Amino acid sequence: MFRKVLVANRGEIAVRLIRALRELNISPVAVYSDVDRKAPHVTMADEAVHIGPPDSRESYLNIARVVEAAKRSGAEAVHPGYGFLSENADFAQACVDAGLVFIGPSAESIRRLGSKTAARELARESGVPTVPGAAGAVSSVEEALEVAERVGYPVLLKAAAGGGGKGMRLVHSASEIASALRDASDEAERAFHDSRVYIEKAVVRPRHVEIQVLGDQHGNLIHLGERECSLQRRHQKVIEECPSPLMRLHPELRDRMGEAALRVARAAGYYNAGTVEFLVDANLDFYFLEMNTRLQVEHPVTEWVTGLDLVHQQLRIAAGKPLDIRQEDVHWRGSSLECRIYAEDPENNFLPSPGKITRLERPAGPGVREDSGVYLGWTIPMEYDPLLAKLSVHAPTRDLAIARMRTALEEYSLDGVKTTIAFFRGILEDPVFQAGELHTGFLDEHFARRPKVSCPEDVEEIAALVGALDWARHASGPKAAKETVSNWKRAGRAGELR
Amino acid sequence: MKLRQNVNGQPITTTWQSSDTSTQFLSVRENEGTATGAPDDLQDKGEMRHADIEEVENGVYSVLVENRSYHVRLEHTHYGTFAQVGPWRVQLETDAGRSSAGSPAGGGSSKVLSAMPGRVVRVLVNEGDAAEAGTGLLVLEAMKMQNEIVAPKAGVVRGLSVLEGAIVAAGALLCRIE
Repeated sequence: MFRKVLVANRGEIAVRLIRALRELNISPVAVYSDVDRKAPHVTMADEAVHIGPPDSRESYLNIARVVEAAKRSGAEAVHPGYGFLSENADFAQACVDAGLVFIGPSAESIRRLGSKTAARELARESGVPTVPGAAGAVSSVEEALEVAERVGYPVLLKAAAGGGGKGMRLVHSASEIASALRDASDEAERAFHDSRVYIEKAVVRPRHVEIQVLGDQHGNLIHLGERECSLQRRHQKVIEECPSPLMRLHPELRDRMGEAALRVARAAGYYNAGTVEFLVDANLDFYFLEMNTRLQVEHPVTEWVTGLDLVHQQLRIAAGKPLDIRQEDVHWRGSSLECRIYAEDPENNFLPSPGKITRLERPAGPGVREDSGVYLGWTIPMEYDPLLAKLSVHAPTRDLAIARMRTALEEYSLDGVKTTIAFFRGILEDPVFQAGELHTGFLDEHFARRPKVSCPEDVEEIAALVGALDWARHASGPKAAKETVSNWKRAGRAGELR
Repeated sequence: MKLRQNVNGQPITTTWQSSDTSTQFLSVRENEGTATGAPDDLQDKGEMRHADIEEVENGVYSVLVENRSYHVRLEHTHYGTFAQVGPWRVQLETDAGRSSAGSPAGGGSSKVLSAMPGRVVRVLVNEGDAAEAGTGLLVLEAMKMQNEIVAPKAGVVRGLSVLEGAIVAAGALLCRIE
């Protein structure tokens, strides 16, 4: 096993990796930019190397500086975490060229799976379904009609150069095709200077379900089951869970999807931890989306339910050891949920909210885990991702996991910046969520249907009382606060306060 | 003592007396037709209740009313003062605190304030430009997300004080629309 490993990341994932390294008696080395000098991953590590200014392009994304830091510290391996350089094939190759072990798959696997079109081609070749559609852009209305007829309505027109919903149109019938094609092409031309549009079958109200795979460098590949990540906004996951509520009703689906994921991984020559993402429709048909060639943000829910430590596994695999578990050794116990705590204002279109943390109370108790990259007094920088922490829970059943999460969120307070902590409460209380009827449009519908909850009167009165006392104490000093009004001794009638 | 507050936008008058060992209080919700005014009028409108209040740490209070336990955290932000009571978040505003805060510029001028801390990545208008309501004025970026600040009403851009690359705090004055 390694003696020293460099963590090429920051925030909660750097902290999580440093913990795992310590558990295995490996000395952790951190890297940091100017604004992260006092970040928790720096203070926790054995060594910390400064790698540049706040702008991540000149620090956490700078391959030469990160590799140089690893070499200078004498680390034998580099763990990239997620985001930043974690799915950068050039970085993986630069590590290898510098004589460092990259804790992840080979640069070649990253490259093959990094191109979405190449990855889907690979999936199709290995017999894994992808969303049906035309291979290339359509050039005429006639061709569009023919493709739509073949894959079946509804279909989605998408800009070939696109992203972010621009140049995208949902089409329900043949009569809409001509005008939708024109609109989508015009919009694509304006947005990307490229009017090409392609067609694929629209998967209606799909679930986003992904399969965790684990492979060693000796050809052994297993899967650790699914995570359901259907709750998303702006294509960013908000709540994840394992098992997917779908698997309780259809346990055979886990085996089928697990097998499909392993076929893709095998075709890519994959080793280390990876995740194969699928869309699942109402008929339980699933379609390959892409493969993420790194540790996922939401890996704790898999760890809770399988009892495995994915970072320990990654380190063992990178050190060249064979897997110490077989597929039949993997069991799924109980139910786990994760909420992502972002520094964002959920009541104001999720605007980012960097700033100083002025109060921090963390949840605890059985089955509660908090992976965090912040502390009381830390100033959250405006340069990086707003993910502050991940709160995950485990309980024997999904209902109990929901109740446990609700309780943990109530214990959790983080003041000084806006966070998504309170926002989760409404979701957990939504009967549709409780019934496990999830799809990627869930949050939009949730916002539209959530009942307006009003605060109980006694709570408002206690808030007013404490606010008034506190104000009097600080604005007028102790004398004013102790002033008595003799009339009140006579006060009497029953009433108001409930 | 007596203090008027807006609690979630509703006026509540709280009166209380404290000794070293106890606090008696009365809260009157004025929108329910109860009277405002001198303490003598108020006493007929409700019952003085006993509250046992302890400040457990700075700004965090434990309140017991007839054995019912409330955990109250006060938070003062540039968006206002909030009390977090268990899962509930209540916005508070005192009469006493309001006078100096200043009203949003009335008449012909609207202040354009930064909704979040961030870096100015683009300034889309010049001093003296005419703007319609909804015209983009500048683009702020924080935490990898860009946010366009738009004119709240039609008018002329005045007092444009920020440059591209500048870092602004939440609530900072960016310009006025006159």
